[in-house]
Amino acid sequence: MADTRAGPDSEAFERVYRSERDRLRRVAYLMTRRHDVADELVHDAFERLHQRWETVEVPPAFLRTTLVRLCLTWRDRAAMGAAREPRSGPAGRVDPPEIDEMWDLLARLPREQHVALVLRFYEDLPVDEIARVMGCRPSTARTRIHRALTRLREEMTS
Amino acid sequence: MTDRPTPTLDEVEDRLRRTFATRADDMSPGGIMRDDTALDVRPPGGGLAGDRMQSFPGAPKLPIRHQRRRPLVAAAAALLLVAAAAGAVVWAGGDGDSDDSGDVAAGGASTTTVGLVVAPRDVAVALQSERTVATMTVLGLEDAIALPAADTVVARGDTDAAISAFAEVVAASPAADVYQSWLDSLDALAGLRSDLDPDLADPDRNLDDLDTAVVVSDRYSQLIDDLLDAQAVFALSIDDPGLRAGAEAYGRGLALQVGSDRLFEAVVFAQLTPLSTTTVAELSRWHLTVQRQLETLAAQTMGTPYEDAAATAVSEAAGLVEVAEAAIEGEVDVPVAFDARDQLAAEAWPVFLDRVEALLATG
Repeated sequence: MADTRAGPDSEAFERVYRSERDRLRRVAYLMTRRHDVADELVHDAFERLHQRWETVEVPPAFLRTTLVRLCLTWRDRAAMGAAREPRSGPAGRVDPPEIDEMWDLLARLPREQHVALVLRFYEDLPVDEIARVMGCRPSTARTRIHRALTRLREEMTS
Repeated sequence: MTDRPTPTLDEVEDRLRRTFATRADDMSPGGIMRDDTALDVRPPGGGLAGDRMQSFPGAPKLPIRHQRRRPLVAAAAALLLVAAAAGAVVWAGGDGDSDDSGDVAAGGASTTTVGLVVAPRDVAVALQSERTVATMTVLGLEDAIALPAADTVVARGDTDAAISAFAEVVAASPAADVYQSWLDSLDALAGLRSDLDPDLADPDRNLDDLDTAVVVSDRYSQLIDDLLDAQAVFALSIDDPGLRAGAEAYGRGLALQVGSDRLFEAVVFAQLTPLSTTTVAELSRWHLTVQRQLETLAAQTMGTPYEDAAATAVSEAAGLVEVAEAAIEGEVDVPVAFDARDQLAAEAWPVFLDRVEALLATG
């Protein structure tokens, strides 16, 4: 049976895949702290883009929003019992202690705060865009970022 | 041992940026996940995505398969059990021959079906309000906290009116069997009110009556839970997959509206009795319940027309969950708790339920 989604958009889809994949993998890893899960969620996001290719106007924005929501959902599942990921980076690499410490502190934040920080300080998104991606009001996004920073500061001095 | 200097927020931001930049390199093309093999996945059932993406060089192998899909066998088994228990109330739209309830077909879905899906909402909300008024009154807090009804008499009247309207809607409908057992159980509500009256009349009501308040709240909660269970049974009996998904999402939204309110109540109880292990246990129980409900709603609506509405509501609900987490750690910020509750009450679940109702109505 012919698939009506196939056709002239193949090259365009592939261009989006090539240009966005690595960035999305990094974002997903920062949000989930697991390489394997990050890869799966990025794959899922592209799969969803592919399914809705004909109706999506801005593929990178669609991918980012989809990925963030997948990460939030995955973290919901993980919060139900999965162990925290260890702090260690790649084998053989030694990060400065303050990096390891911050990485550990991030793991203690509520998931929405953690994701908001990644969007703000890694993706450099404005608050309005963070709110749109996370599906909340700008004031909510702003509050999450502020609370997260305040909590991190408190934890850094304890 | 010397205290570490308190960093400024700018310094925290700077360290965050460096941490993200360093750790993000773990996933860079030159990082540890580099794998130049072809993509080794296909979407469930094969399909174009798998074919197309397999042609991409450099795509990573994905070691984890999809885990969020609802177990089909379990779902099918549940549906069979429900259909058997409900006397096979399997209907939706098309089969109108045996239905004399004024079923109106619209857009392929029966408006009566939609009406029966959403019918429990007013009753659940009324019971929720009566519960809040009752528990706060038992604690002598009726003048200290803004309540959803003027007093217990008004709250009970609202509940009775909602139940009467509900009974009229479901009477002689295909959902009558499913909902009738709940209507038959309303003796429990009468008994609860009767048991509660002496406490409400006690002029010395105060915070020492917390145990009574918790029991009262639980008894109301059980009535609401039973109603929502009946709604879930009805939802599962709907043949049309899209309508069934909407009905299930609607039920979960209702459960979250009620559960979030109960979680807020648990936060208040914990604040009132900071040394009580009972209230902290209650708080933990409702925190976990709401977390699970949020997780389930997000997972079950993924890929459905209700996904965006659910994601927004779940995100809005995060504030109360965070407040509850802080409360469990003994750090209740009461104004923040009220803000979170108000946000949920005004914007999260009512908006979500309205949105699902609108989507259901349009077929």
